[in-house]
Amino acid sequence: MRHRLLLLLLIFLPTLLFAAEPGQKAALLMAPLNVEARDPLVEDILASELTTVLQNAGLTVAPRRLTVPQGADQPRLPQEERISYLLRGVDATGTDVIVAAFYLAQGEELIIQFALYDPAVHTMLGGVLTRARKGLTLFASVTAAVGDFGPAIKRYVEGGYRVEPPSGIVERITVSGPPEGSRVTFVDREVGTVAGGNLVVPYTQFTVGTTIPVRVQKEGYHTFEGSYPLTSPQVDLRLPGLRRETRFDAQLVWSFGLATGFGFGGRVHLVPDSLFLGFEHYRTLAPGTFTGDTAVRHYDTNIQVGEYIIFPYTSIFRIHLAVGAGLIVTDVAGVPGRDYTDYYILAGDPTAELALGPVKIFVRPDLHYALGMGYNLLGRAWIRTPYGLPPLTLGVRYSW
Amino acid sequence: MVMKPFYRTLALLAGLCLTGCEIFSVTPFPDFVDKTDISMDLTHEINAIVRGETNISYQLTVVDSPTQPPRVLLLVEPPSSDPTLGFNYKGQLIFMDSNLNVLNRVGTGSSLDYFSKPYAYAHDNNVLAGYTVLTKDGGTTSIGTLDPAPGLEGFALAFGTTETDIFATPSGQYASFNISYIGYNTVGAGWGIVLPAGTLPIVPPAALPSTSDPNYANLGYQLVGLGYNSVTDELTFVLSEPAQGRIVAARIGRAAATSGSGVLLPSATSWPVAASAWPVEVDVDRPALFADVDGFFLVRRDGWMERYTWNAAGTPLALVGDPVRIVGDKSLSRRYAFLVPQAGGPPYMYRFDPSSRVLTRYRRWW
Repeated sequence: MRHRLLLLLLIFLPTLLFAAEPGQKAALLMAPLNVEARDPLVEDILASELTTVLQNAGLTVAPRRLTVPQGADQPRLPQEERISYLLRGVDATGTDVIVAAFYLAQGEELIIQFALYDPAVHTMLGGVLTRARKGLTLFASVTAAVGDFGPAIKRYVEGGYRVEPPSGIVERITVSGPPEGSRVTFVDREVGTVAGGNLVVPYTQFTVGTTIPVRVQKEGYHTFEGSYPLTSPQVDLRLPGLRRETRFDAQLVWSFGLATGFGFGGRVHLVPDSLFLGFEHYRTLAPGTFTGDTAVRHYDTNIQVGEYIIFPYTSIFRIHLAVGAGLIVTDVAGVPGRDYTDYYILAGDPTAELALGPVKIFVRPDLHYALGMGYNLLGRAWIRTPYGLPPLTLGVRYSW
Repeated sequence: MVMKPFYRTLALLAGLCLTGCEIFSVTPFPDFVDKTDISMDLTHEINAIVRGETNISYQLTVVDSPTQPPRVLLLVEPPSSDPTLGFNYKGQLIFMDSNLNVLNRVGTGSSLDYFSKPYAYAHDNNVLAGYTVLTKDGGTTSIGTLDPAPGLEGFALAFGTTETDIFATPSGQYASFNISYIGYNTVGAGWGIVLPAGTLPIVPPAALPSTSDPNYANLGYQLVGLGYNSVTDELTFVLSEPAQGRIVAARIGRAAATSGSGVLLPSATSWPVAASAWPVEVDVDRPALFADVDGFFLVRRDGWMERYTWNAAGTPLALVGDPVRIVGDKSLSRRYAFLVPQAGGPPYMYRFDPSSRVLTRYRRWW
C-alpha cells in the first residue's frame, strides 16, 4: 500500500510542479495595415513562426488568435496608425502579452511591424519594423523577419520590458457636467471642449493629490471656476452645469399700497445678474362709480438702475438695490384741468428675491421720496401709507 | 370633499381681507381725491400780488352765514419787511365764491395795517378780516378798520344782526387758562364796542397750577375752534392743550360765557384737568382743526384726516359715534378750509397747494 502511494506521487509530481509555475501567456494578433489586403498565407506563416519563437522562449501561446476590435467607436486603420491605440480595445483576457504583427504587402515587398503589448497596463513593450520579400522566398523571408523580432521577445521574457504601472501619476481625466460646447481650462491652459456629454482631457502629467483650478466657459453662460483635487489615476470630474447669464427680465408686480391695481416692468442687465437698468409701470383700476365718487386712476412709472449685492448669482436668495426716478399721474375722471403729478426718486428699493430657476419671486418696500413739484398730491415727503410704512410690493419675474 | 368647505372659507376670508381690511385698502394718496370737484389755478392772481417775491405765506378760510352766500378767502402774504420802509404790508385777500370764482382781490388801506384772523361774516353782513371790515365781495367799506382794534386773533361770531363777538387766546400768550372776548355792534356809520373786553376762565381758579411754576407760561390752552348754535345760543369751545398733547372741548351758554363770571369747565379740581372731567378729549399732536356747529375736522400731522361729530346743542357735550377717518395729506404746507353751509346745501372741503398754487374743492368725504 505504501509503495503504491509513492508510485502515484512520482507519477503526478511533474504535473503539480508545472502547475505551480505557469509561464507567461502570450496571444497572437495578425492584421494587415491595409485592411483590404489581408493575406491568410502571410498570417499563417507569421503565426507559425511566432508560436515557435515564443514557445522556444518559454512562453505559452494561446490557441486563439486575437483580432483588432471592430466598431464605430473603435480606432481603425488607416485613420488610426498608432499601434498602441489599435490594440487598446483588444479583448486579451488571461493574456500577459499580446504579440502583434501588422503587415503591409507592397508589390514584392512585405513590411511587418511586430509589437509586444501589455494589455494590463495598455503599454507598448517593444516592437520591430522589418522588411521581407514575397514570392517564393516568402516563408524564409518571414522566418528571417520573425528572427529579427526574437531579441525583443527574449528581452521581454527576461524582464527587460516589464513595466510597472505608473504610480502617483494621473493617467486620465474626464470632465462631465457642463453643457455642450463648454471650454474647459486647467490651470491656465485650455484643455478642450465638452462634446457628447464629456471631455477626455489630453494627457497632462499631474500628480495624484494635486488640486487644480478649473475654469469652464461658454458664451451666454456664467464662467464656472473651482478647484478640484485629483485623487486617483483615473479622475472623473463631475462639474456643475453652467448657469445661463440673465440678460433680460419681465415682471409682474402688485403693491399693498395700491392694492386695486397691478404693474409690469422689464430690466436689461448691463452686467448679467448684477447691474441692470429697469422700468416699471403700475396702474390702479378705477373703483366702481356706484357710490357716486369720481373714478380715480393712478399711473406710476419709473426707471431705475440697480445692482445685486451680497449674495452671488448662484444663491437661491438674493438682494438688490435700485435708484432712479419716476412719476405718478393721478387722473380724476371728469375733472377738467391738469392731472395730479407726483415726481419722486427711488431711494434704494431694497428687494429680496427668491430664485426658482428662471422664475423669481420678490418682495420690496417702495422707498420713494416725493419731490412735491408741480400740481401734486403727496407733497415733499416719503411716500408712505398712513400707518407709517412704505407700500409693500410683491412681484414675480421671468429671466432669460 | 372634506377640504372643499375649507378652501371656500379660506378664499372667502382672503377675499374679505383684500376688500375689507384697511391695511390692504390704504394708499399713500389722500382718500378725498375721488371727491375732487373743481380745481382753480390761482397762479395769475397770486403772481399779481407777490410780484416775484418768494417765501409767501398763505391762509385759507371760509366765511359763512345763515343768510349770506359762503365766501372762500385766500390770504396771500409776501414778506412784509422793506429795506427802506420797515414794515410794509403787501398781503392781499382773494375773495371767491364757493365755486371758486374769483370776486376780487383786496389789500389793506394802509401798508401799516394787516389782515389776520378772525375771518367771519359780521352782524352787518360785511366780512371781518382781523380788524378790517370788508364787503362780502371783497370791497372796502366805510367802516374801514376797527378803532380801537380788538387785538385778538381768534374766532368771530355774528349774533343775529346786532352783534359780532370775538373770542381768542389772550393776545401775546402762547397758552392760557382764560379766553378773551370783545363784542361790537353798529353805531351810526361805524362799529362800537357793545361787549367790553373780558375773560372767560377755562378751568376754575382752584384748579390752576401755581404761578410760581417755572413752566407756567407754557401751560394752559389755546383756542383752536369755536362752534355756535343760534337756536340754543350755546358756544362750543375747542381747545388745544399743548403740554398734554390733546384736544379738549366744552360747551357753555353765550350769556354765561360773556357774563364775566362763567367758567368753561366748572368742576375741575386740579390742573392738568383729568380726561374724565372734559366732555370731549382727543389725544392728538398739534393738528389743524376746523370746528363748526356739528363737530370738528382734524388734519393730523401723521397723515390722517378725521371728522368728529358731537351731539346737538342743549345737552351736555359729548362725541357721537366713531370719528370718520380718511387718508389725508402728509404735507404740512397745504392749507385747508371746510364749508358746512349754515343755510343748507352741499358741504365742501377746500385745499390750497402753495407749490402749484392750485385751489381745489372736494365734495363731502365725511
